[in-house]
Amino acid sequence: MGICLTAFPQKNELFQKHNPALNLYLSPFFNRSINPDSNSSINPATNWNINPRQTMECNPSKNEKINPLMNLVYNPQQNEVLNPLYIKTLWPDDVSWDGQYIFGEHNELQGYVSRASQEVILCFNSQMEWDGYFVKASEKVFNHFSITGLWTGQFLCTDNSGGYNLFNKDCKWTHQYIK
Amino acid sequence: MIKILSIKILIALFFPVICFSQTIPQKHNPKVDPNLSPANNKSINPEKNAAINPKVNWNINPEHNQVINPDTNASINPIIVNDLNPNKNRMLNPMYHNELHPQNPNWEGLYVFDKDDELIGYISSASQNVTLYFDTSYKWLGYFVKSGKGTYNFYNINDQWTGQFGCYDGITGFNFFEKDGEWKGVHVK
Repeated sequence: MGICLTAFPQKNELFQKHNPALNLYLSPFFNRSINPDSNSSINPATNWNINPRQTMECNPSKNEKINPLMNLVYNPQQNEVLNPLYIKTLWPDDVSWDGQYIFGEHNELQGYVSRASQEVILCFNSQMEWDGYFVKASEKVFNHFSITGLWTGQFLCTDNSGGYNLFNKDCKWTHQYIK
Repeated sequence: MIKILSIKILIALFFPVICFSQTIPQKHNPKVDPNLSPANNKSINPEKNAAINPKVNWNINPEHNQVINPDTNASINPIIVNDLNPNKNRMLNPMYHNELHPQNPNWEGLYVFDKDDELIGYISSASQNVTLYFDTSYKWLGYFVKSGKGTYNFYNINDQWTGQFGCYDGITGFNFFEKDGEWKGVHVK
């Protein structure tokens, strides 16, 4: 059963609850209220309160508290409780895993995210390889860091409906989202 | 379950985005209420009503009335008075107060029309003295500052007075004039 779930994650019960193909309202390409191109309040280009480039408190280059290289509590490489190599349940193929999914603009599955703590979200690619993490910058913003703790410039903004949209360093929506 | 899924798939194929286009409320739409259109209602048309035409009523023309000209009256100049400047006063800035942005789900404001009553922009009231102007792509283009006598001077995003201004039409909204006082049919309802 465990092998079946890990081999076909898209088929397990958890995934069904998050699958925009089954619930169109989970997709920003169907549901305008969670689409940043249609709702200015969730778009950092038009709402600077959620824009790390415009709001210094959300910028890890300006605010040490949210920079995992300066604040090691938020660094999975320094804090084992955040590290999926030590905490196996953070890994998407673990039978006990509970997390969210990364989707692309065609609503295709592109990766996974695990909530390591209130402030740290781990991200895994479609091959379930750990390839980075997000650190909370504010109630609505999480900045993306590489495994080595370097800020990539990308960041998540909440969609106000339990999910997130991913933006690049130019604050443009990448069309990737998390549900 | 399969039937519901099929219906959802059909909707997804034919309506990729369930979006509700920015519909103009009837009380703001000159195409619904002809009384809102200067083309139909002479009393709000500056070409028919001299009282609201700055070319012939210099009291409402900044070029001729120093009181409403920001170059001669500092109290209405946002370069000098920070409270009138969205770039200096975040309370007026739609980038920090998103409810002022026309794409915000809770937005309420006014609508800008051309001479054919086609929608060309949106107006948000940031304060009693400052209104913000957006185009139909929701791009913030500038702001108006109340100058008195029912007039509003228009500034671009860089705080430069363009010389353009709005004048209250006496009844329902205002008309937008070029620097030389010429009206090209642009009106706000």
